[in-house]
Parts: sequence; structure tokens; C-alpha cells
Amino acid sequence: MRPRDGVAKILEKPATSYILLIIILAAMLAPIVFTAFTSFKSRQETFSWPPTYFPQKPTLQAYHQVIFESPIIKHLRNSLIITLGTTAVVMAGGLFTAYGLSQYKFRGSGVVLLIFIATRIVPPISLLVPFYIIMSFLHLINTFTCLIILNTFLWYPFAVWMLKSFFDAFPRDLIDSAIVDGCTRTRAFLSIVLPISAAGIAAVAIITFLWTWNEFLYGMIFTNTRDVQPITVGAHYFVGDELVQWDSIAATAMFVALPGLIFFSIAQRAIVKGLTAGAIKG
Amino acid sequence: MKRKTVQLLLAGAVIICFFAASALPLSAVGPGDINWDKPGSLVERITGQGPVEAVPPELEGYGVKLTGKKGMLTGYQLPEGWKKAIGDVKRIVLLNSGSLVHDPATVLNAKIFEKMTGVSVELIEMRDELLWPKTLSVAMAKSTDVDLFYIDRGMMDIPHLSAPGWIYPVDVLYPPEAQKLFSEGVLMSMRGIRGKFYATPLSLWSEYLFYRPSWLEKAGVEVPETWQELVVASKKLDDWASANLGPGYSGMVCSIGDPDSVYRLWTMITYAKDELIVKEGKISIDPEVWKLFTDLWVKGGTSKESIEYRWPDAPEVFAKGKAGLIIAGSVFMKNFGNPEFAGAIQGDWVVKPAPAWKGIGIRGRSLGEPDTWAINPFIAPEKKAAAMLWLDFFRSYQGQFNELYVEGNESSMKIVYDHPVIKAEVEFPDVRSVAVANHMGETFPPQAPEVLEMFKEYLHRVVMGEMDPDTALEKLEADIDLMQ
Amino acid sequence: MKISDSKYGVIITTPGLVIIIALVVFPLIILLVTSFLRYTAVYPISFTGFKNYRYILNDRLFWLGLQKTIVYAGGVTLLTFSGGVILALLLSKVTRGSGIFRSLAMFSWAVPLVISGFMWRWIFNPNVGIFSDFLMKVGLISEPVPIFSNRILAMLGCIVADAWVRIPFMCIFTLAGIESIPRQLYDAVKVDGADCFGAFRHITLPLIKRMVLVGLLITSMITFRTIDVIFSMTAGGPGRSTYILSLYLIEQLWLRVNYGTGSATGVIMLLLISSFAGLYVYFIFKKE
Repeated sequence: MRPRDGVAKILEKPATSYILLIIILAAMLAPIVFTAFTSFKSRQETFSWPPTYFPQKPTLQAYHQVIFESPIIKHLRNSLIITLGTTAVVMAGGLFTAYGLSQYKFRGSGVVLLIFIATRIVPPISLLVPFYIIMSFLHLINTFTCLIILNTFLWYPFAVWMLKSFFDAFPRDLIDSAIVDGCTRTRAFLSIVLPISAAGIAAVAIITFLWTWNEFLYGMIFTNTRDVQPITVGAHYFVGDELVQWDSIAATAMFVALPGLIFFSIAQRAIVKGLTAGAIKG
Repeated sequence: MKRKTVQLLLAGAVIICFFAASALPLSAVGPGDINWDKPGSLVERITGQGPVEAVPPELEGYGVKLTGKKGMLTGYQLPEGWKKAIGDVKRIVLLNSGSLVHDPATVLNAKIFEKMTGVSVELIEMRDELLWPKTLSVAMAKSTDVDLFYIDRGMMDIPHLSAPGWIYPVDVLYPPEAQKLFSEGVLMSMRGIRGKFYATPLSLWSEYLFYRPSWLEKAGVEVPETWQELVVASKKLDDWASANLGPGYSGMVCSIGDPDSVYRLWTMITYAKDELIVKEGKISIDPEVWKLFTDLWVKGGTSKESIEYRWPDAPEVFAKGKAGLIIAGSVFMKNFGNPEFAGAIQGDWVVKPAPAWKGIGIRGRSLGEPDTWAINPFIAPEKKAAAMLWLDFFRSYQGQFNELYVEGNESSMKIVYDHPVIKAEVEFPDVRSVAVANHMGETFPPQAPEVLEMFKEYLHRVVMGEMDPDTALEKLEADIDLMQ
Repeated sequence: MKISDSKYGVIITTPGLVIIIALVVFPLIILLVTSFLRYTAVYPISFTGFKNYRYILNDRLFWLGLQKTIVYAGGVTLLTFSGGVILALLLSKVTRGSGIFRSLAMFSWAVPLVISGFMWRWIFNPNVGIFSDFLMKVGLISEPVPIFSNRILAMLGCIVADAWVRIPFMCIFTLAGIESIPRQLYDAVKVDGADCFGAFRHITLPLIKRMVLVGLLITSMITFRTIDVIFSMTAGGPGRSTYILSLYLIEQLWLRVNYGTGSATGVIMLLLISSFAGLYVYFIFKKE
């Protein structure tokens, strides 16, 4: 037996997949698990060497501090407003743009698409000052509107790009036959294309949601008060000066990551399914 | 038609660009209604003292617990005409470095100010790395969203901000007799172009030498008095520690991972030699200072990991009992005494003023650069008046007393150290007052932040053993010449 | 009245186009214009032609940054690619509890980069972190490794931390590609007697190629101009060993306070990435 056959035999066994998967996942999840454990440690324990893996005397002290003594709940609310707003704007605009670019090509539509991709490569830092000038001219500094606009700028091109690939894969005959049946083109889009591509659209919406949720730099620079700052900014509440409060940071990290974790648990099937639909044609 | 639209859009965009880009300095009307010398002279007004009392709950805020603590709640006197000058201003917005949970004195002073004037002080908690980008963005956009900037390295940043007129001069707060209340270092680091004052101090730091007497005794090392002795002592301690305690222990630790820590050490050693870094308007590196700085690693026993430590990291290592010597800031006098943070070294650490230079016997020399607040020049005159009152109050005896007493930073007003409560209750008042009396500072040219990054790069290369100190110095000087 | 299809396309694209012009093209123009200006704190603004570009191209630090960026972006993309694809292949084989496994595999994506920067910095911390301690317990090393005091390890550490966040994205893209392959194809090659390597080479690889390449393109484009992880982990140190172009850009903007050279750096980065992306797209489409 050639060695290759042996390896192949082992690899083909279903158990091997499970074992390998568990090993890889364990490595990937270790940082999160460690952070989760740390959030239950006492502050003194976080400073000990050698470090403890499991909390020796589990305590909810850090969570108590984060929930009741810090404005983290307010930040959660702000993040939700910003993220939902951005996702709504991006999807509302992006769906039509992507559909037009995909199914009704016009002169220059290729250029438009290229511009989309190009803008996403511009380092966001280099646009800090231009944006600040504009926003302060419009008196939008420290408002949700401002952050929604900026996040739209950040994620709109990607959303259009991904959406376009779904619509590209959509069978054109279906649309045409609907139009022959007397449907207007907009009606055909709304009542036939959208429902059928729902999974893909949901996938893009979720990805946009997560990207916005994780954004930090603009959220920090364009806000002044805790009434509008998103949670990624609020998480810095405990990154102290003299004494880094690891336990509280860990608890906050759990809070920040939580929506994403929940979302993925619920929606991973939709995401994969949605992207699969887009992959039919390429 | 299509082309025309595009042209129109382009033209519009370009016009707005230029409009936005034309950040030219504006001259603003000063808050002239305030008479700073009434009632009583300016110095009398700002050195007024009240009793040290328990803090009532209404003076708390921003999640800071002050009940049960004490502070100076009265003393400062507002100047005449303040009420008219601020008009109906009800609120000023300030940037703050880091979160306020760690700045109880700032919160207390803000609340006292609010009670006194009716103007509420809203503090924006910024992560320190992003404080400067925020300040620049606001200033370049001439935005009025923020009334006061927080400047945490005045010697570097004030030249940048004052040249284009992005901060408002406050010379009126510093008549000659008031200048005498502050040390030369503090005054120098608040100065911008044409020697004007642009800021007032809020909190001040000094650097000290901390050591573990038990280590020194066991290793048979004398307490180092000079930087030269420090190099030798750290080596001996390091040899002893690695022989007796094993790996992970080192003679000395130092934070040189972030530019600010590097610059604190660099200035400290240079000033100990009684020299300045800026000569004839240019930054120059004294070869002997460079030699000594690098010797801390090349010949001494300072841990190589220092290059990854940002300023709070090295003290954390010391607090775990893993080093015998450290140069660290004021706040660690308090933190090393906190068993939660420094359980391993309780009762086994001593603090001394900074080392002297061999042959030049000045101990306790360190950088006297305070964190400061400066006024955004584009805000309304009434707001400017309110902002100036805040500056006047915070640098006063009362404001600085609270900074030292409640928070454990240094007071930039020297006479505060003579207060009996300070002498009795604050940690190491003698060591502190030696340091504050010897503070130095200077005004850097605008290239300083770049030069500093370069300095840090070559320092790291020497520590990593990639370059010998002489070659590194040569290359560093060549690079600096290119910049200036 | 019936309007033509291409006009219809313009009409329904317009709302989106307004957004692009307001938010996307506009900043691009600002960036381009400022890159030709002397725009500093100290002097009044004036036109300088290509001076900013000449300055950058003669700057040692720019070339150092470019070199580090290539290493960094290359490393992250490679790790993300291999990690993502392997993970996706394994996930596609697993049938029982696949929902749970998939959710778990996505978790690191849910952690914001700011937080993950902190997390990794702490894990690699030789004094409190578990990385050194774990290796010591396993017996691979005898004393804590200070990751960020070593030129090569610091770079590796940053690459690992960055790739860790990006693997799920790659994985999900690949997984979607694999899922769209009809089962019958595999059965067909099994009949032909091919083992799993053969099946991978002849069926999986050609069919997921397109999807994987898109994922790769997005990953490499983003990592080329990313900053979050390095900014919170090493900030370019030690001794500028992780000094990527984005940090060079930041130095122009925040240390030199020179928006002219800062914008010019932005433009150069833009050109570099788009030419790279252009070549890439060209080769993918040419082959088909």
C-alpha cells in the first residue's frame, strides 16, 4: 500500500474529520474561552503568575461592575441604533443599485462598479479630516446620523458588490417571463427576485450588521458623549491608565462580542445558504 | 447633458474642497470683561485656601466614588466681572485623556466649578492614542464641538497647535508674579510660538527611582546615586537575580515601547547632565547621554523585553516582584502600595528621587511637563471666558491641591507641598517636593514627534543587538539632519 | 411610455449613485486634490505639484513600510486562505451537529478588531498571558517568550491575531462554494476509483476556485490597508519591525501634521492595491 493510500484512508474516515475539526476549533476558540473565564475571575487573580486557566473563585464582580457601574447598556443601545440604521440604509440603496448594475446594464455601469471597489481600498484614516470638516460644517458631529452616514460609506460598496453577484446568478428567464405576463420591471424585482434571493440578501445584511458593529475608529473620532458612542468605543472605559482592569475588560469584551455570537448561531445557515445561491453561477 | 452634470458635480466638489481646506488662522475677540486682578491680586485669588473637608455626595459624578474621601472644597476666588463675561453659557465641553474613573480629582474639580459658576463641565473620555487625532481633526475643521483640548505632551504639541493659531493664547493668566508659583519646566512646556502661554497645567508627573531593598542587600549592591552607578547596579542585580531566582527575573525594567516613555527617559538623562535637547532651535543628541541610555541594556542589566513595554507595563512587572530597579512615575507611589496590584512587593520597596549625573550632583531631575488644557480659538467669546475661568481655577492652589491629595499626581504649584495635610497624609512628600523643585522643560521645534519615533527605532535596534550604539547614533543623527 | 432597459438600469441605480457620489467619489476627490497641496499646520496652503510624491518616494520609511506591508498582507492572506479552506473542507464533511460546528467556527469574526487586539496582546504577554505559560507546561520552552521583543516573532504574532479574525470570512465563502457542488459528481468519481485527494483535485478545487479567489481578493485588499490589530498590538515596534504602510500614513498625518504627504501616501496605496487587484481580476477572467 502506498503511503498516500493510507493517509487517504484515514482522511476518509468520518471520525478523522471530527477530530481535526475539534482540534482546529479548540485552537481558534481558546482566546475567547480564556477571555470568558477571565471575566469570572477576581481582579487579583488576573494579575497572578502563573496565570490561572479556570477562575479559582468564580465571581460575578466584573459583570456587576460592567452592568451597574458603567454606562455599557447605553452603549449597547447606541450600537444597535447605529448598526440597524446603517444596515437599513445600505440594504435599501444597495439592493436597487446592485440589481440595476446586474440585470440592466447601461453604458458606464462597469466603471461604476470599479469605482465602488476602488473606494473601498482608500485607507479610512486618510479621510478622517475631510470627513470631519464636512460633518462639522453640517453640524452633525456627535449624532447618530453622522455615524450612520460614515458607516454607510464604509460598507455600501461591499454590500453592492456581494449583492450584485447574487443577482448575476439569478435566472434571467424568470424575470423576462414575468414581464411578458404583464408585470412591470420594478414589480418583477420586488415580488419575484427579492423573495427568491431572500437568503442571500439576509446574508449580506448580517455581514453589514457585523462590520458596522465592529467599527471603531470613526465611532471614536466623530463622537463626544456617551449618549451616542457605540460599544466598541465604550469598551475602552476599563482600559485604564495605571491599573488595567482585565476582569472588567474581559466582561465588556463578552458584551461586545455577544450580539455577533448570537447572530451567528441563529443565522449561519442563512449566510451559507445565501452565499451558496450566489455561487451557482460563479 | 450627462457630461455637464459630471462637470458640475466635479466643480462643486472642488469648490467645497478648497472651502474646507482653507484653514487659515482667525483672530478672535478675547473675554475682555474679566478683571483678573480683582478682588485681590491674581496671585492672592488663585492661592486662596480653604479647609480640607469630607466630599459631599453631590460633588460626585462620572461613576467616581468620592464619598468618605476628603478634598479642598473652597479657597479659589472667581475674578471680577466673570458673570457678565460668560453671558448665558451653561456648559463647556472638554477632552480628557483616558476614562474618568481614574481621574477623581478632575471630576471633583469639575463639580466644584459647576457649583461655583453654574457652568457644567462635560468631559469627553478619549483613549490616549486617539486624543491627538481628535484634537487635530477638530482644530483643522475649525469645529466648535469641543471647547478645550487636552494636551498631554505640551513640549511637542503646543508648537504645532500654536503656529497656525489653533489654540488661544492665555498670557493674561500668567503675569510675572504668577509665573513664580510654577517651576521652570512647567512654564516652558506651556509655551508656544513667540513665547506666549497657551495652556494651564492640570496634572503633573515626576519620574523616580524605585528599588527593592531586599534584593540590593542580598546582591550586595549599594543604592545607586547616579545614572552611571545605576548601570553597574542593575548589572549586578541582574546577575544575582538570574543566578538565584531563575529566568524571568531581571535587574531592572523600563518601559521604552511607546514614544512618550522613551522621551521621558531621554529628557531625564539629558537634564540630569544639566543640558538641554534643543540647541540653536534644533534637536541634538548628546553622545554621552545616548551612550548612557543604551548602556542600560548594553552594559547594564535592564530586561530586553523593555522594548515591548508601554508605560504601565514595566511597573506591572516590578509590582509582580520580578525586577529590582525601575524608573517610574508619581502614580506608582500609590499603586505599589496597593496590595491588589502589587501584592508581591508589599513592604519591600523604596522610592528615591531620580539619579544624578556623575560629577553633576543634581538629584531628582526629571521632565516637568504637565498634562494641560488649552482653549479652542474658534468658540464664541462667552465660551472662551468660561473656558478661561476653568483654566484659572484648575491651576489654582485649590485645584492643584486636589490633584495631589485626591489623585496622587504631582501639584504643579510648588507651595502646595508646604500644606500640613499634604505633609502628613500624602505618600512621600519629601521625595515629591525634591522632584518638583528640579523639574525641567523646553520648547521643541515642530519636527520633534518624528525625531522621537526615529530615536525610538534606533534605540530598539541597539537593545535587540542588531546595531552597536555608535553606528546607531551615526545613522540616527543622519536621519535627524534630513528632517530638520 | 416604455423606457429602454438601459435607461431603466440608470433609473433604479440612481439612488445608489447619489450615495456613491456623496460618500465615495467626493472623499476620493478630496484625497487627490490634497495630495498636490502643501497642506501643513505651519504654512498657508499652496499648490506644490508632485513635491509630496517625490518626498515620499525618497523616504526610507516609505520603502520600509511597503516591504513590511507586503510581508504582513501576504502572511495574513496565506494563513487566512489555508485556515479558511481547511476549515471549510472539514465543515463540509461533518454531518452530525454541523450547525453547532459552523457557528463555533464563525465566532472569532464576531469579536471586534479592537477587542481582539487587546485579547492577543494579553495572551502573548510574557507576564500574565497564557501563551508562554501553556508552552512552558507542554515543555516546548523553559522560560516565557517575549513575543513583541523579537523582530520576527512580533510580525508573526500580529499575523496570527489578524488572520484569526479573518479566517471565518474566508471559510464561509469557501463553504458556500463547496455546498453548491452537486453530490452526484463525487459519487461519479468514487465509482471511477478516485480517493479523497483525487476528488479534491478534480472536482472540489475547480468548482470552488472562483469563490475562493473572490474571498482571497477581498482579504488581501483589506489587509493591505488595515491598521487595527498592529495599532493595538505593537504600534510598529520593536524597532519598526511591524511598521506597515498604514502606520507610515498615520505618521504623515499625525506626527508631521502634513496632509499633503499624508494624502499622497493614501493615493499611492490606492494605486498599488488597485493595480494588484486589476492584475488579479484580469488573470482570473482571462482563464475562463
